Amino acid sequence: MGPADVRDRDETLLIRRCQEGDEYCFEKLFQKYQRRACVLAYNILNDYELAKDVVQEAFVRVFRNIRRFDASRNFYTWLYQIVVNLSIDFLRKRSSSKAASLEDLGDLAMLRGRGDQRPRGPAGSLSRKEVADRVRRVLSLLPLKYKVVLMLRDIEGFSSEEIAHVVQAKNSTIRWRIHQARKMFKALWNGEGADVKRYLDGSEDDDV
Amino acid sequence: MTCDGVRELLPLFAGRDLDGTQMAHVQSHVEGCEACTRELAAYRECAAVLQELRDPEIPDVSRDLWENVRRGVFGARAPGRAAAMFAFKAVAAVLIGMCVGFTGATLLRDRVQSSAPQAKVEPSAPAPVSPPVIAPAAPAGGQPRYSYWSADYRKEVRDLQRKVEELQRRLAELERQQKQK
Repeated sequence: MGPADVRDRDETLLIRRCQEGDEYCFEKLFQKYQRRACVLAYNILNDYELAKDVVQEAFVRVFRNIRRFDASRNFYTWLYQIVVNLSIDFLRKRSSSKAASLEDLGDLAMLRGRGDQRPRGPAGSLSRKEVADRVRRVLSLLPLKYKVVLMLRDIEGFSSEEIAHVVQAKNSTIRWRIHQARKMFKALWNGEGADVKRYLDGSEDDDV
Repeated sequence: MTCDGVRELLPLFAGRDLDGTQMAHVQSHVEGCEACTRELAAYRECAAVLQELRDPEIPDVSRDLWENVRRGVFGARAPGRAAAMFAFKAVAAVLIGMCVGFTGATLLRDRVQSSAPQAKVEPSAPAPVSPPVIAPAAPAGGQPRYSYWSADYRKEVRDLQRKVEELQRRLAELERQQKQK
């Protein structure tokens, strides 16, 4: 039995205890996942205070419904599903369609204008914080469904099957979205405006 | 494989999201194609900059967050539980009070009753062997002057016992003198 098996077994026990109403185990489970959930919500929302609200609400929902949770399933994909859905709800409430708006592509001019300063990687001429800020700006221009999939795959390191569970879509759809999202991100990062406009125009087409 | 075909697969190739055969085809093409190599480098750069969001500097508020979550989950049940606990404590306090009161009253009554007949000594009867137990005299209101275990009460009992012993001794002496006559 390897460390991963032990971890899985421990987590299953933890979840079973939670299902019996053990508050201590609730806290253990919360402490285990709260930071990753906060980071995910923060990356989607770009607002730490909102991210905290989302994570708080997500854990409340998780713990209120944990009796109905099948302990043999992945807990974190269930938690992330709730975090992603709540984040999307928050974003939709805040602005009807901020992402994927072609007006936002005004930022692209700035990105293009600074082409010579564009970092050649995280350790480029810009500081890590500046790189992170630019990544956030570029991600905010992506349509939400592509942004979420790209973050889950390339930041959180989820497999396409896990992402399919989180966003409740078919695996083939997820692979298509990963493909498109990487193309869009590259075009935006490199200031290839014509490509971006083409991708954004066709971004609603989800068929493989 | 043509450059166009490879470039369509590069986004997935960069993240190792192709199956083994496709990975091998793209790999062999990229190794001999400068343009596709540049394109792949651009995708890899994007993957690298995205990693900057993996561990952002965010404040640790896990303690506060947990308190809010805990209140959200268990808060609804807390008032009911608290009310039940309060009711239980109140009932327990009343029951304990009743038990203590009843026991105290019973003990006091027994003491008073047991001291009353023994204080009256029949002239013809022989003197009792052991001194009688004496309870503090209750005033008109029925309340004892001292608390049962107070030092004053014990002193009064000792004094009275001494007097009773003295009276018994004198009574016995009188009886002996009467017999002699």
